[in-house]
Amino acid sequence: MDFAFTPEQKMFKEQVLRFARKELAPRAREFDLRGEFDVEGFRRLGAFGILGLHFPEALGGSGADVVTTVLAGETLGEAGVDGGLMLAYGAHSFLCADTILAHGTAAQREKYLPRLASGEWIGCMGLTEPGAGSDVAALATRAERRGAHYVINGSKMFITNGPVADVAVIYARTGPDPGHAGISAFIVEKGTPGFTAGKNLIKMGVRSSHTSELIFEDCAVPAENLLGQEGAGFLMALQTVEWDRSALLAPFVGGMSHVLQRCIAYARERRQFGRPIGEFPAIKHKLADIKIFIEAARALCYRIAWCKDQGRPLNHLEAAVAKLFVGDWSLGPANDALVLHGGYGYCHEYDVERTFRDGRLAPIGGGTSDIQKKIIARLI
Amino acid sequence: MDFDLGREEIVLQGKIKALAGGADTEGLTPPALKARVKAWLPELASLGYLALGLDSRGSGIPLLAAQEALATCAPGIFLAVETSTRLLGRLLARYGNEEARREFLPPLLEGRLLGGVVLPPRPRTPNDMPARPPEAEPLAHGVRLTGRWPLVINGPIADWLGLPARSPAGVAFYLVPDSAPGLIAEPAYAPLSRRGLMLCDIDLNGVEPPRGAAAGPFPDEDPLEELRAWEDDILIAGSLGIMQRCFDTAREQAKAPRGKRKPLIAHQEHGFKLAEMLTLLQTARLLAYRAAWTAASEPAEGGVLRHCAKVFCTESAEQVASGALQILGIEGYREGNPAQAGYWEAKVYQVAGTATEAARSQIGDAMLAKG
Repeated sequence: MDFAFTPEQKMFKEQVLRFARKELAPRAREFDLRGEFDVEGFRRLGAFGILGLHFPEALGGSGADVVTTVLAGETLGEAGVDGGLMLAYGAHSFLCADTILAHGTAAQREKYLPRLASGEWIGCMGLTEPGAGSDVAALATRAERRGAHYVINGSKMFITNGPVADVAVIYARTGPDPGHAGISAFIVEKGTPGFTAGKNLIKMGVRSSHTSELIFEDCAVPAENLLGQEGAGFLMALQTVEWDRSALLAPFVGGMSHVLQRCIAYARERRQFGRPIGEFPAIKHKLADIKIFIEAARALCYRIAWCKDQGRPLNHLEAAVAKLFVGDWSLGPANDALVLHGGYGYCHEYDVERTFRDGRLAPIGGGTSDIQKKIIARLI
Repeated sequence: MDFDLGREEIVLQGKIKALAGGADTEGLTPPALKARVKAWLPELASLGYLALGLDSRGSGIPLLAAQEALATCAPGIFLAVETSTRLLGRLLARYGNEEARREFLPPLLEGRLLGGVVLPPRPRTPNDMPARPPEAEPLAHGVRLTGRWPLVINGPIADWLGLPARSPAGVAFYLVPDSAPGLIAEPAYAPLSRRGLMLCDIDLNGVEPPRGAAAGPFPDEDPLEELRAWEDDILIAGSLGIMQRCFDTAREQAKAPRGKRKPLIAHQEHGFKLAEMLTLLQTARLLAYRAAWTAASEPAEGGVLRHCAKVFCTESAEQVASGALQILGIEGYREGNPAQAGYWEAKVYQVAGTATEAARSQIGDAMLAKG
């Protein structure tokens, strides 16, 4: 066993930290307050190479391994980058672009990936539907083959990047069988007749990440926009779980590191009863509990990343454990951070309340905590 | 980065688990427990278990992997073995004088000698200081020890005890046989003794150790902090054992056929509880191994991570054991069931060594100092 990063990874982390603190973190508060998607910040992520970090160099990426990619995500969080921007990046790179990378034809990869890597195009993934959330297999959106096209009818819900995306990976039923079978994946471009995005949904947290319904009304996409084979869609969606349980979780963990730094600074400066509040055991214990969560959670994300780098099949049990722990066990430390700051913690100027709101998504998005428990119980 | 145990570590774990059997110690008297432990020691010695971590080789991951295996399959003897070997044995190996190492290490490592030890409390915890902390009065031919130590680990069962005493030069450890004139061992703490945790108070009424100081004197706290860290490492490993046993017991019960009725695990409330338990177990295990690796590879960072692991693993052990009790129902509450034993032990592990409140304070202090 060895938990060390390579010297190159450590150097890369420092670079990401410097970049994010200078170019992205100062924008976080404003874009969260306005609930506005930070297009410029997103482009900067692309220009720095984050969006396509794990893509092959020939397709606009850097060829980084999964551990390095997860490290980038954690570091962005640690730098104080807005949770909404990181969620947008995660959905773009790991749920949309990576699916094209993993399952696309050479032509599809060459057409979409360089522009997704640079951030010129924004990607999203449409799986969840109004009637099919935790019960993914109940998805009802249909795609019928008609000549040289597939015609898609249905709708998707809670789609991250939905209102701003240029490219969508959409899952629709092509076969007659219910359940997991008969689901296929398609690439749908913005502007395709019959494809519209709903208005941005105002959310409790990750407010700068725009989320909407996607509506398909006789939306005809070229047959060559089928991703992989017909009927292979569910497996493709499952494969995004590896990223979801590592690269998409890592910013939450990194974000808690950022919050911990804020708490330490506040505990040193804030004086009550004649001394810094950091001298009170109750405050020290809160700092400790935040630190303990961070250290406990980090290894779970990196374990999944490392296993993926080793080419091992996804361990669904370990993936569910990671999601469940980061989701459910982060709530206490996030609350501690807010309470430690007292009234100031409740104000928007202090990052802790934004992290508290953003983090509340962790037990819900990408598979609820109850679904993780269901998976674990089935696999025990 | 590598998340797999090495082949040697896995093989040793398997050999340790294969020794399991006859390690149930609940309800044993001190003499009976001593006999049980001493029967195990040579077997463990033959596997190389006792020598792990006594020098820098085998510290960190290999040691924790082996400790976890023993704590899982032989909880009743785990603390006794570890106290003798990893506390007293390592103290002698790292800091003992030549004579003490020559005389005591071979029988310790061969499993022929069972040791006990007490660690002095930290100076900044005055409430923990004993009423009469032992002092070493210099004599022409040695020292005379007078005072009283509470909480001597393995006190009721050890052949030799490593007892600290203060002299003008600092704290030194003296090796004293259990039969030394002037040494009075109070009865073992109950009900801890019935659970395999052998503690007692030791009165030293003019005890003259047969030899001089075995280790020390230590003019400052540094070596003693290291001993306390070793103690925490043992408790972290023990916690993993508690969790694994409780989880396995609960899972087995939950999956057991119940005739025409669905097994318990088919009911969501039980399945979900097992899921939460496994989540804590896997998370705690990773944190414990990372803490062990960091302590061995990056010692400067090891202290905080060790305290994080101590808090998380011992508190998770309580939660996992509690979950097991819920699933097992009244059966889990019966003496002899791993769930009730684990629930009981987990509380002890939280207060022993660096108590979780103290560990949290130390983590907080470290955060505030470092920023």
